[in-house]
Amino acid sequence: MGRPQRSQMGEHEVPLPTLLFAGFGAAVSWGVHFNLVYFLNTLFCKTGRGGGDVAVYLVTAAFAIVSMTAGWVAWRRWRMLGNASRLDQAVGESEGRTAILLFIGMAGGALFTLFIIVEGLVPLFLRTCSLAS
Amino acid sequence: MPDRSWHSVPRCATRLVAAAVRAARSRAYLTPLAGLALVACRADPLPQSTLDAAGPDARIILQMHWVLTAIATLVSIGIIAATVIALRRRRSERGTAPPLPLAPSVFAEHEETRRRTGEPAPQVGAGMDEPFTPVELDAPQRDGGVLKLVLAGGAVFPAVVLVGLFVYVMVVLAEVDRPAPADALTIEVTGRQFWWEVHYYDAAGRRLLETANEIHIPVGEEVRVRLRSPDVIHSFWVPRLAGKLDMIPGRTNEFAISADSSGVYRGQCAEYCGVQHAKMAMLLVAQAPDEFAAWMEAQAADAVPAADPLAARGEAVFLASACAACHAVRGTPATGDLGPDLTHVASRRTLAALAIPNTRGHMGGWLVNPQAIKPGAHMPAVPMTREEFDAVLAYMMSLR
Amino acid sequence: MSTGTPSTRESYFAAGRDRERDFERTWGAAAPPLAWFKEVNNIPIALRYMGVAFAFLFTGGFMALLMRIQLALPENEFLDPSTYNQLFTMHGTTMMFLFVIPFIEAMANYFLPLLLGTRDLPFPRFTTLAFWTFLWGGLLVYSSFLFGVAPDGGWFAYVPLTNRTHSPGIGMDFWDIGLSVAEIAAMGAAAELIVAILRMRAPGQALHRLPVFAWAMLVFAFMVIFAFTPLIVGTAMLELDRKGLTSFFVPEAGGEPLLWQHLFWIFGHPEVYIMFIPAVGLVSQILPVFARRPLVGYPLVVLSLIATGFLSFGLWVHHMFTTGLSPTSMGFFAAVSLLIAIPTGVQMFAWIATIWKGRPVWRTPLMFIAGFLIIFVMGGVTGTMVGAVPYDYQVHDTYFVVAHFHYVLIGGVVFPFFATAYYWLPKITGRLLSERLGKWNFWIMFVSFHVTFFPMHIAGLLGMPRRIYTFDAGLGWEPYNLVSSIGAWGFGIGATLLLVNLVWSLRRGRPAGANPWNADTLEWWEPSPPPNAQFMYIPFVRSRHPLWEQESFEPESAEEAERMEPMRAAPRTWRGALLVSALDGKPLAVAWMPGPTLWPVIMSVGFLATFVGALVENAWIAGAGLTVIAVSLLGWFWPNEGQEKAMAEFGLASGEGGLPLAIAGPRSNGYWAMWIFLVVMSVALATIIAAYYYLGDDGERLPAAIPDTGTAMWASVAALALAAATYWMARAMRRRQAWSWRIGSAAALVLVPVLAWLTGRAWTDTGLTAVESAYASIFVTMIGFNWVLIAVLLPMMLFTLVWAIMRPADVRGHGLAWLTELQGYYTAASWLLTAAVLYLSPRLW
Repeated sequence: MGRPQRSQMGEHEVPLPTLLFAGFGAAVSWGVHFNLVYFLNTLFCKTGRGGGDVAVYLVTAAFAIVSMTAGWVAWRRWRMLGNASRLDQAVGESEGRTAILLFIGMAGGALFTLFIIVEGLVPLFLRTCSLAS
Repeated sequence: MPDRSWHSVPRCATRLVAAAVRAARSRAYLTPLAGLALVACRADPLPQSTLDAAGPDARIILQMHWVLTAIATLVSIGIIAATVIALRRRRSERGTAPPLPLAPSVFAEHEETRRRTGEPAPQVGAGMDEPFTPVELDAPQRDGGVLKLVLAGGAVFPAVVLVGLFVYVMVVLAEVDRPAPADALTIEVTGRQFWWEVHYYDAAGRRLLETANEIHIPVGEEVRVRLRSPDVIHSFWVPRLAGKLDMIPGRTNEFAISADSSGVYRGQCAEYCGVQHAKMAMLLVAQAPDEFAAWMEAQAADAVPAADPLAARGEAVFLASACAACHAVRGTPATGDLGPDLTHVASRRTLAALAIPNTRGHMGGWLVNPQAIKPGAHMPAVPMTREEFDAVLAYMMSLR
Repeated sequence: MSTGTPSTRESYFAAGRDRERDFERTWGAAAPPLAWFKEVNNIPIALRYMGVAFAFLFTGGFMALLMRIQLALPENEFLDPSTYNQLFTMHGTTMMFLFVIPFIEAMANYFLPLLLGTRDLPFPRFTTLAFWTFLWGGLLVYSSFLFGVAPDGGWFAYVPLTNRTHSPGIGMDFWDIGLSVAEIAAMGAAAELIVAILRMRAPGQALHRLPVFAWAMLVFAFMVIFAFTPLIVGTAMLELDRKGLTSFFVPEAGGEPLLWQHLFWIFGHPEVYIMFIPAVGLVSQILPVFARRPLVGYPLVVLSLIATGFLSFGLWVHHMFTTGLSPTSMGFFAAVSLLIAIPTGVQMFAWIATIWKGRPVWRTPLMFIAGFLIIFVMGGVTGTMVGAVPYDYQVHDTYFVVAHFHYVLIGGVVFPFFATAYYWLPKITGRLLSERLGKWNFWIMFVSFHVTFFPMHIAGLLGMPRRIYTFDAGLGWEPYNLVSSIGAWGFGIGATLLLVNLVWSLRRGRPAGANPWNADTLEWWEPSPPPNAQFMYIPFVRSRHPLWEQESFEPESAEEAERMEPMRAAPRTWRGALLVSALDGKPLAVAWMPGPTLWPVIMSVGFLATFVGALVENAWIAGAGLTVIAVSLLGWFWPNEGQEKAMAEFGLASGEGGLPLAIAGPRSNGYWAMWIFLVVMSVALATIIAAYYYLGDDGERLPAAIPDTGTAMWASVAALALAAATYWMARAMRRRQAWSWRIGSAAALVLVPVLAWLTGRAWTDTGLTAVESAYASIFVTMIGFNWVLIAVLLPMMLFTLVWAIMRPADVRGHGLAWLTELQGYYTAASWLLTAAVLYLSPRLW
């Protein structure tokens, strides 16, 4: 118990745009990737052009890199936070909320990259278009 | 049929209870129990069960069923066991409640209660067990190891299993979603409220015949099923042979279906399609190639003009009445296409999409009052005299 | 035993009895006449809200019991087919839209302010409006039973079955219009919750100290915005189709039945998680109290909530696996459907680890949570099975799926709700419930739940489709259905025991005290039941578990205490609440909160009349309703005395380092709400654009003649001019240049109708009538969407001008100008995007 320590403000400040990218960049890039591959697949099927699978692979590679970058940025900043990264200890407001957002970005980076890659693998297994007309 | 030993137990149980219910409802309490058990455990499969796979697709999916069920069972048991053990592992311990802070308003209220009633105010933790269990506040500092377990069990383990499962699903999906061979017979099934219109085409796209609610296919042969709907969404599903596929207005869906052995398989509409969705079923009859060819030939033929005078009178009534506006009988002027084609109606096993068996009595009942049998069906009762009714009934039963 | 250390009472907290009494009077119950209708405080409103939602739970449950009687035996004739179809439609609709979502909102309305240490929700009148509209909407839908025309198209209302050809009666209109009401309430609640959680917390409650339930509700609110908006667009399209005005879903006119399925399920699948995520929050919060230790892996659980929120939008097509889509697109959705088990798995393990490392105390809430864990795992694994596409080909639309989603929804939502009821009812009533009855309640529900729903898995595997009013004997389904029916009645009786227990506790229950569970969060700091005037003294939070870890709730420094002085048992004559910074929870400003008023209830009646008018196609009733809405909006936003008092008080006090009054500009709650409104509109616009391309995705359906760009170009010029005038107007307002402000608003005000007229011409030039084809329908709808924005902008601009002319110095007028600015830019941008989609993009193909 005991009164929590007050941290030194400003020491570990992460600029808000960086914090948002690190925290939610992976999730958002998953969302964009998901809609994009679905859209591309539909588009290629409708126009009857080949190469839909290649498009999916390319988009997947691009977004997997964005997602991993977000996770990596979060991880680096998290390491810089040092002690504050022990989330369940009482820490100062600024450090604590930064730490939790970075943690979310870090673990989220791994999770969403997995999702992006697995979705990108789908055309390896399946016909691209349906028999329906 | 291959490998069915696994489900003899649930089947026995199912049938035993079912037979008991039937016996109880028909008040046949004296049915000997031994007989019941015998009926219950006889080997024939349930007509619409996905567990009694009789076609290649259904068989592959059944295999998948057992894989998935095994994983699901293991995971459930594991997690439930962990929960139960965790709950029983440690119990509350004696301790004293720490002095917890209260809002000033609570404080004021308590003071007031004490002043008014002289009784002590409710204590913190009044709803909890005595003796009181203190909170382990310093616990999170020691959670490092547990967190690793949480990540391993909650993230890494499922990720590995699920990615494996994903690959398996993709492989099976590729197998199930294969197109029918180019030279396959095409059966176009049109879902309608609340029956099935069936057209046969050969590989060249020539129209062969039309029937309803009863689809015949040659055993062991891949058949292309083409699905359409002019009214609302229905879904074509013969569980023992394959999964379902929807019939959607404005679209045409296609898949391949085949049966391993001859038999009658029940199918049922699987997308809610209106008031009589429950009674929109069909039969799929798999026949040996020569039987199938004979059936095709018989069905492709026009109706033979009624020989029997009563039936001939019936034909006249039929053609003159509202009947012919909705139904077709090939070889006669009746070409209505709102209801099923009746050219060979008497050759079918059931009426009204399996609502009733196709017997003379049921046919009569259906003609007199369809709404009593299948309320909401689009067939109206056509007003007829007794004499006309007998004639039409005879005519119907002559359409073999 | 402790009742608080005396020092707390005597130092910071003592503001004097007079001040406290004034404060209590200001926040207290509304004064007669019509006090009951004037009430806007979150606590009484949330209580009514919960009560009504709970009544709907039992109504929906009773319908299920009737259906189970019908299905107990094959060929049963207890119900006729159309009654049965009405019952299952209304059962699903009631549970989804009239019970779970409203109940969650009601619970959040009651407890979020308590958990966050704030005095009320940011928009109390809006909460009140949402409650009344929900009540009228629910009653409206149920009134269809009185006329025997209850909706019967299923709760997901697939077209074409539900269009005017195949459901000619008024039943589906009841469904469609009643739903709109629930949607409005849900959207309103979402905006409210976002602002509340981000802006209205106790000082020091930074993001990492947020109770998990608050995190869950934040995710919930964002999900509602992104999921309900497509549903609103979809139901509006369906209703227009039903009125014969458009042809979105009519195949003969190039419409697409599958478009409805996409729109419905992009709402419908997130909806499942929208219901489940609050339950996760509740469990994560209750479990640690009974495990007597903090939650294991709080940040992991929060991450899982956020990740689930995102991922739930990548699942919707798994409701459409059997519609014949391309295998690859199904593959994408199958991947998410399977892998989404990962975040849920993390949560499960975090909960189990919390119990494992804790010292569980067997109280009823813990039992319901244990039941939840067990049932939810079983529902979760069958969910993974259903995500396997080929397997879904077999079990889709069968009783296997019925079993699966009842395991998920009853296990994952209803059991946590019951745990919560046992946990929070003592706070609401001030009395403890009976533990003995609680245990009976749990065991009866738990056992009969499995008896009811487990056999359904097998019935489904044996080929039993869902939504059939009867079945033939001899298919092997009889025993499973009989057992299910018996179990269902047991479950019904078990659930009712909660009501029995509640009545018992109100009569005989022991007093609960402020904190009967020795729990950690702020709601237990206040008395049970909490007063309307909650948090007279604003607590300073320094821990995630304030009641476990903090010895004092006073400010840390003298400066902080000084700064908060105007909020200590104050303001005295108007309702004021503290605004904090979103990330850190640092005190920023003071918000003026409205007191009791009749306008919300009047406005809700306006909504009711409008909807009834639309239902019976009577323009007079609808017109009267719209008039009432317009008048109540005027009354709602009319300058009032409370605001003037607030401005007078804080206009003087907000010196250096003091707390300013946030009534205008980016610091005010209204500005945040405006942003949320624009996000909602953007989601709606995106939905409409997606529908446009979906309907035009097929060579045959592309417009025969690409529309001429002439008028659209002029309209775009008008839109740009409008944006420029808006900018001028707002800049002048910020620079306090009264005349420029007036001229700018006047110019913008003139441009608004010009834009409306030109966009109208852009449509009439094409000669399209909406009903002639699906393309024409979506074309007109896209243009019509801009008219909705214009209809909102016009009065805003008008009143901005009025403020500018009458009282250019009044900060409330500035507030309106800030909002009008956003709406002005947005309207212009929306038209430019519309023009690009309708006129330019067809030329690119």
